[in-house]
Amino acid sequence: MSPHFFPYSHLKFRSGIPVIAVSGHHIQLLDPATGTVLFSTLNSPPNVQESLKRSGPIRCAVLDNSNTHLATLADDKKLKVWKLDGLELLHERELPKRPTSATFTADGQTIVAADKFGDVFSYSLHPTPGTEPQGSASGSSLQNDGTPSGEGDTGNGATPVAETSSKKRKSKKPKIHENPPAPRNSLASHVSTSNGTLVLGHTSLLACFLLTPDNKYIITADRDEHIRVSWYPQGYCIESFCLGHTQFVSAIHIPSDRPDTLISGGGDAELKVWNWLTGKQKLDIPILDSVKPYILVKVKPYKRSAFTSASKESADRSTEGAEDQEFVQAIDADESQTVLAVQKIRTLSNHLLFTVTGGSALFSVPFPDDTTTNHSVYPIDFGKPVLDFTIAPDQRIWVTLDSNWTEDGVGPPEGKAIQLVELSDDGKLLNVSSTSSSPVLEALQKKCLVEASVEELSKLEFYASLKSLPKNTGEYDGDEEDSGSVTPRATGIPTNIKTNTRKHLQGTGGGKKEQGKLKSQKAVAEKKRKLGDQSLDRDDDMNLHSDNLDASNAGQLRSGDLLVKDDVEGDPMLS
Amino acid sequence: MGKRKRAAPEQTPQDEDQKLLPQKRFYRQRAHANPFSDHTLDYPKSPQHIDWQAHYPGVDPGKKPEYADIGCGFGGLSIALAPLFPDSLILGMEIRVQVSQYVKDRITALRTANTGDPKAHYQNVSIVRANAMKFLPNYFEKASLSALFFLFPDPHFKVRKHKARIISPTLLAEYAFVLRPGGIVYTITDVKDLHDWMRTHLENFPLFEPVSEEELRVEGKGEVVDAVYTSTEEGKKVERNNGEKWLACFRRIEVPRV
Repeated sequence: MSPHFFPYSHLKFRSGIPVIAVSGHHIQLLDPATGTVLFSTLNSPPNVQESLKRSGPIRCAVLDNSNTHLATLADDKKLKVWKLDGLELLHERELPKRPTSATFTADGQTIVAADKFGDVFSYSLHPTPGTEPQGSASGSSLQNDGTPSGEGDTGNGATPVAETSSKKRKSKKPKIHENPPAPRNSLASHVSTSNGTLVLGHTSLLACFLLTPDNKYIITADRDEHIRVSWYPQGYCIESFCLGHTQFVSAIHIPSDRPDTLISGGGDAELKVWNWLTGKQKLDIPILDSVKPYILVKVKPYKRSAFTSASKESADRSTEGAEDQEFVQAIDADESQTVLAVQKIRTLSNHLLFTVTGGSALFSVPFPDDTTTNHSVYPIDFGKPVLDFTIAPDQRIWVTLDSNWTEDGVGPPEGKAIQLVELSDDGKLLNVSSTSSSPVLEALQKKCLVEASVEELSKLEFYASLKSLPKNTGEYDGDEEDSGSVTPRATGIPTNIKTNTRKHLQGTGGGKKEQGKLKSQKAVAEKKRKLGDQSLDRDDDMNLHSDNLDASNAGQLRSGDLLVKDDVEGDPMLS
Repeated sequence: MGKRKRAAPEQTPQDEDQKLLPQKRFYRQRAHANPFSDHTLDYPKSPQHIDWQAHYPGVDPGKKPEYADIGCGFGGLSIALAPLFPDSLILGMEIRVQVSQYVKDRITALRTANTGDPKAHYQNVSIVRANAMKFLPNYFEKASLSALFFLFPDPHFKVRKHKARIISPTLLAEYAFVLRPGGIVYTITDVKDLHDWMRTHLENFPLFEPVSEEELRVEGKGEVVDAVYTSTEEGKKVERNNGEKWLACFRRIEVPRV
């Protein structure tokens, strides 16, 4: 059996420092000139290796501006900070919720991290020992988070020591039921286990965030279509919202040469260009038609029962009323579907480059200004889902691929894990992997590959966001875009038709209620007729009213034969 | 079946207009809704995408809501405020389908029954079914509101559920965003724990400062305070049970950049 290798999830190129390559739970530093591996976590001390393995695949790796420190996040709640020179793990600490992304502030002294639950905390670069209960982040947090002991967790000890990865899975489960880390202090909210400072929070999954180049603002984007611009570090002061998305927002970007502009993308059929300070949208760049053919990874929508550790809200969801139940079941029957989720947006010499999660291509589109109407999206296809791309100082684009991916799951390794691309002057993307001789490319293609077990590969779950980001109430309708954006998409008036349907299917109980409602509604209509006042005619246009009557009439037709009976039995005083 | 008995006196046939009013018992729904789940909600993309004319047809076009009743329940406060501020717009927000529909039917009935009344015309009050914890900024522009009301919110007693409380350090930022400087947040509850929670978080929040009931009365907001105490179904229930009510009000202030 031929061995499997971890694909590269992140690459980082900066002038004057080694190339950083992340694959699975490992980090390697390569000499940019020779491709020689300078440092690798494969050579780290056993306790570091064990910690890396337990944390799982590295999801986020960020470097400070001075190239001194590297911070990594994986599938657990740990924030690991490395000294880049020598790739030494300085410390790790446990955050209150599982972090999804992090960034250094410009001075490199603070790490800002967003978590699955929609909160953003800031942490000092190094944990402050004086205030840390045991001087060790992992030790103290284990005490605080209230997970039942005896589950295999190492309840004490500063550095995490040997634990098998299967045990780690097990110990993850109780965390779903974890209380906020404040056992009996009834007033505590948003307390961080690692002396973090709360910056802000969304009542939604935070999909991405960034600090503006001047570090004066933090821009956060969530699953519920919001892009929020808040002051930094005073995140409680909201400067503006960039509203207009109708799907989750999963990628935002500020071009370095246009610091007042924000580009955002997510589940919507277009990228949006904003003046983020005012929240005004400047324009749309349609991408769906160009991108859709390249989305290889299809997903089945979430089933209710499928809510496990992926969602912290599972407990809440199960207590949700039966209202949405039938709808969910209807979705279950659906086949795999294509979900558009913009993964990353960057700018390179007056072009936007972007990828979509599970898509096999890198796309370029001319950066739109007020005069251009040319939004032609140029793709370059690699045949395998793109995991990441990064622009090296020499302007070449390094693209990492999920080379293990096949339509049926994990297949034999085929194709190259890395592709090298150049952007031509006319905005075309050219694959130069085979024509350019790069020692780094060669090294990454061969000797830097890290062997992975099938189990480890299955944990990579690069495409989980395609399931977790779309709403669970309806089907994805990326195709259908409401262009008449001036008309209100909805005014939030309850239409309530679904509930009516269910009630009537259930029997007469609901019908009685509906008849009761109908009675007063009819009385109102009657009175209006009597008044016959012209000023009241306007009322009939108001959807507050007409909506409602539609719903009621539908109910009436379905339960017409109950009408009389209900009136009599329901409330004799009324008849 | 106590509900049924209570409902009966509401329909004294003397007043023909009473017949127009919807009856709560047809709109009952369990008291809790999960604010974190994806309800099948309709909400505007942004405040610019709302046609307020559809909500307030009898009012000058261009007007926008100034008072927001978050979790308005059966609409007691919103409807009590309407005649107090005949020239301002009031919007109730309620996540429960049935309950929001009740308020809608009630407003429609009140508009019809009070046609032509110069003050109590109820053209200035409306309701949306909405999850205010997620979508408040979709409805209200920055600094557009004079007051926000949180009356007898769901106490979410369990510690595990505290994150679902309508007042939290993170949500307060959004409330501060939609309130204009000087705007007032009114909170009231009959649950002392929740009162302490709301008061503490609001006091600790840099953009709010406490304002006493007396101050508000001096400023001429006495009628509003009275309505906060007495107009809601919950407030009346607490009175019937001789329970205590805990009021806490705060003013939106501005802070400089650090």
